[in-house]
Amino acid sequence: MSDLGLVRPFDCAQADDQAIAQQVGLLLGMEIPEPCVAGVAMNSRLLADHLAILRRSPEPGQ
Amino acid sequence: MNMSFLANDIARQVRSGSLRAVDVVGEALRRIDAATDLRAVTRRLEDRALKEAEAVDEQIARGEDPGPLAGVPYGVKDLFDVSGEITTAGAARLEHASPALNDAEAITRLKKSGGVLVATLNMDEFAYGFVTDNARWGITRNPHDQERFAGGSSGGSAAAVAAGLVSFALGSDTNGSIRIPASLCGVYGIKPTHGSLPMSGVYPFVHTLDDIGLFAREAEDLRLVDGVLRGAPDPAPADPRPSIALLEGWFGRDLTGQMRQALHRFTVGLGPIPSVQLTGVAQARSAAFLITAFEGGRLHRDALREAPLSYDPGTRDRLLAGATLEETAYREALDYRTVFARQLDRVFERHDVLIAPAVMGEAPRIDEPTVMIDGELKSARANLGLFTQPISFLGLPVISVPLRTEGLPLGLQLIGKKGRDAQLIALAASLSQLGLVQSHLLAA
Repeated sequence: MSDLGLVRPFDCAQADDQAIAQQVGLLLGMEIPEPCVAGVAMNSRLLADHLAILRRSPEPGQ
Repeated sequence: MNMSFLANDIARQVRSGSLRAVDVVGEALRRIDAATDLRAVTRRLEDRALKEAEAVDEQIARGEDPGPLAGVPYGVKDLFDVSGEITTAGAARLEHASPALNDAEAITRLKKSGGVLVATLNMDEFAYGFVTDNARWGITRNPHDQERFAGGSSGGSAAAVAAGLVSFALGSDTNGSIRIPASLCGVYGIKPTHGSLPMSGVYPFVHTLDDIGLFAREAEDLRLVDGVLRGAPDPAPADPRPSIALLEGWFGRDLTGQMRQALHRFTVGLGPIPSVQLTGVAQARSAAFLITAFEGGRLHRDALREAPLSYDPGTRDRLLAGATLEETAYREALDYRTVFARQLDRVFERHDVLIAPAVMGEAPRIDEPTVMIDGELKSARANLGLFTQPISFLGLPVISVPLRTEGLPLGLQLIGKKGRDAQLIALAASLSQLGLVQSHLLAA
């Protein structure tokens, strides 16, 4: 299984929708169709947020 | 026709010869035809259902026992293989695929026990969602308020059971896809111990987390069908008085007023119970999210490259993003699961069953598809699993039971140790007898 390595917090936090979609397309070897751009960017940011949470120190009750 | 659609009632009457299975099928099909506005059913399987029902009636006529589900009508989420039918997994892009050659193993077991399959049921495409908003088959409506979601991804299954179209229904649960719609539709739903029910012939989503399970109108029906699906009733001894604790902290956040009231009534009725606060639940939920995105994305990556616009927009963009997730993140998420599981093991040394809300409150409105989390409105499709994801992530058995409420349905998770599914079902039945939980059913 290859490590495509896109979704890291610093990648998505600094990029706009088009840039994120372009990077996703590059990694997948495809052009991201225009109707997908906003959704792909939003979901990439969401995954980046979850990865950041996973890497935070756990807190009691949270 | 005033016919009870409880599975135990139907099976008892059919086995005694006082009710014909073909008449039950006729009633189920009539109810399905009268409820098309729910968009719970994707296909009515009239020919198959009548054939199976006739076989049951012929066995009765010969003096044979068709089995514990004799003549009981049921439906399956449209990701179970049904012989001769196309398994769509809720995807328009699979609508013209080759039909399944055989039934899924779960359906085979139900058929051998006299169950009668009458319909396939709506779902979020490829089971990736918590609302059952399907671009091809429509939004499944909540039977208790059709302006609201039924929940998902097994929303068609929950709505069909709540509306009395079938006696029970099969679904699947990866992150909450049985517990959330069961909660929002007011029925019982079980996600079993991971790997304990047969997955053969079930369209996959996230192999690390996927399980099949079922929805029922009463806890005793849950026990009946669960026993058939396992091949034999679960022999695990049921402790009549398990030690119960309430999960607080993460699981007490963002609750609506109705949920707080219903939960308070429940705990007062149960008597004093201790509370437990877990550490690192946020990390557990995020880990479940990442495992799902990674495995789901990899499963669909090639097809997405080939024809991305053939996917439902609601799932497509999530899968595309997940398909690029780095493997190291996936490994970290799996490693965290081991750490979190150790914590739960220690909690289960002190308690037999943990309870927590299944969702924050009542079903979201379709025209306002959001939930409030920490003061922010967020997508219901992605976030209704706030309380379910950290639990199923560990492979624990969970039943969503319907709390007693005057308003829209609300569900509570009963969470058990691995392999103690029978204990949970016994507890659900006991809570029902005590009047602390009660399904919300429509008079069909």
